[in-house]
Amino acid sequence: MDQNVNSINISNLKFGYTENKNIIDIEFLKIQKGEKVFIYGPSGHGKSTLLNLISGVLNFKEGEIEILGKSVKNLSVSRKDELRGSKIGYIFQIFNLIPYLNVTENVVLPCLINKSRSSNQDFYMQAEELIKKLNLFEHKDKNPTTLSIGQQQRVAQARALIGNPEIIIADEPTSSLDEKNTIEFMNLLLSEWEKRKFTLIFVSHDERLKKYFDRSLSLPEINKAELV
Amino acid sequence: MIHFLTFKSLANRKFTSLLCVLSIALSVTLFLGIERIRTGARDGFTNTISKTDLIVGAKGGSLQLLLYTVFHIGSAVNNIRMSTYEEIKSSPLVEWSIPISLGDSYKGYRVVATDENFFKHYRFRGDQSVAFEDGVAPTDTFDVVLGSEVAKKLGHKVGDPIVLTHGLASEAILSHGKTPFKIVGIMQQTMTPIDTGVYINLYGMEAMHFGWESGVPSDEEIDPARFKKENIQINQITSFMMKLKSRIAILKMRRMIDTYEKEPVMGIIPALSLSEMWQTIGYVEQILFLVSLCVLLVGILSILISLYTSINERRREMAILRSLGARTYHIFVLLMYESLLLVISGCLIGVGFLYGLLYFVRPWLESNFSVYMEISSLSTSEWKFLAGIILAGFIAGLIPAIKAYRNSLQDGLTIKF
Repeated sequence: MDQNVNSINISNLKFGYTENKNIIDIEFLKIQKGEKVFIYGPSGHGKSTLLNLISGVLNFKEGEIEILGKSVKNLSVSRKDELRGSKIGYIFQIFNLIPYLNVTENVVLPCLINKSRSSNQDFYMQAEELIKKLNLFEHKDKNPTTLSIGQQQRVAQARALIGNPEIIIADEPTSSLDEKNTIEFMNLLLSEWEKRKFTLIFVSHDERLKKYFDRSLSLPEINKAELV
Repeated sequence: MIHFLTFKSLANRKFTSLLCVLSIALSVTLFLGIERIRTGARDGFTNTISKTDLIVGAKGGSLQLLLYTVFHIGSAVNNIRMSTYEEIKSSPLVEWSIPISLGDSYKGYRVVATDENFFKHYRFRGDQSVAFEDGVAPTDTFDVVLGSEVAKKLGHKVGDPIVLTHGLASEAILSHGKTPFKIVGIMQQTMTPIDTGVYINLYGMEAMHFGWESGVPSDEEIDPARFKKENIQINQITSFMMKLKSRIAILKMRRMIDTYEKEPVMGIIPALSLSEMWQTIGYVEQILFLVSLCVLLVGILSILISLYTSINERRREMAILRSLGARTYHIFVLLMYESLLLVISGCLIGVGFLYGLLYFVRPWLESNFSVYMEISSLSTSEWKFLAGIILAGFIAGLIPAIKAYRNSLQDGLTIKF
């Protein structure tokens, strides 16, 4: 793929749930391929809405979002789902895991949902490698509810990484972790980034984490929408 | 993927899933079982007598005539003269006739006096005739043949002597102690009222009442020569059954009987009277039907409730699946698949229960209630019924599935706590 193409390109994006009140008003946001970006996003600044727009769960009318050089504005809903499933790995703040699947099953789930997430490779092997790397091997057959939150977040990381997606979106992944687990989580994530060079978009309200990233943005600054 | 998730998710909620499946299974069993008993009872009822075109007795209620002649229930107000029977049966239209004389009992079971025609011509359930488990039809004056249930309940066997009771009360004061009968045969089970009958011939009926002209037994000894068949004069019978050579003649024959001048007699067509009678007791059937429908409704509702209450707990799960690229329709299909799986396995287990139950309950139903049931494969209407349940389950599944679909559209990747 063309190296000059941006990972994410947002221009003049306006979005609101009601006609006359915008939640999102972003003139310009460009994230390059392989870039690791910290977005400072305290609550109440349209963080969830922005992430829902980028991952193609919400539709917008005004402005433009390009993912990997492709405009998502006019993509059908199912094409957006496919794009998200195959190109984006997503990590939530907490409770990322399906409670009735074990650790390994949770990790391979994106490959089961999207055939294109993992080209011919045996994704169970991939999953095992990731589980080993993230120090979860002894837990691979356990139910996620028996794991600590730190372990659960690492399982979520493994799941986001499987199949080498080009973009990883992490939505406050460390906010429920203690200092030690946060450092472990960040180190493991960044060492994977060293190897794979995916685009990493890390949203957090904890500005201390800025130091791990190439670039840092502030949502209150880029989002011009008047918010309460 | 959907299979995988569905099975895992159901396995995770083993207990509630199992309860759902069980409640569906039980309602299916109950519904099909009640239906089977209903049709079994109706068939058993209408099959008690077949081939008989007309039943003739003293003028009175037609239902009453049917009940005492065929079902051994109630009693006749009047008997009819033997000469009337002789005259009617000698009509060229008649193929065969079976005389019946009632009035006595044996330990609560009705004594039915008849002649050899009963054993030769009586038909039930299509073309089945009376057969003997042991022994033969009564020929001598004091020969008696027992229905299978009578023999079984009282533990009698061929060769045993028995004393019949005057009248129908089971603890009667007057017995025919002077004229003991000898069991010469035991009939095979028919699952009709025949099983509860005690059969003697008309001569025996007449002979045991010798000396009873005053209504009570006299002390006089009766000359044994009088008990010889050729010396016995039969004066009256209670009713008789007839088969005509041609069915076309039935109405004509009936009119002739109803307008018979020498004695007030009437004829009824058993098939017609049976269905009239079933209609009068048919409301029971309809109540049963309604009850089983309600049971089923509860089963379907249990699926709806269990899925619907799980939707909110599963909102997070749906958001996770969406974040991993699942389409909104996947969420819909996931829930539909779960409900269908619950309904279908409920149906399968329910049908399994039904056959298990039929296997164990049938002998008991047959011996105690004369409800004749075959262990037959599912009938067309039963298949339709199962299809109906699955459809109902599908519709019940739609509600939570649409709800989950809407939730996931609204939530997107935002997880609600």
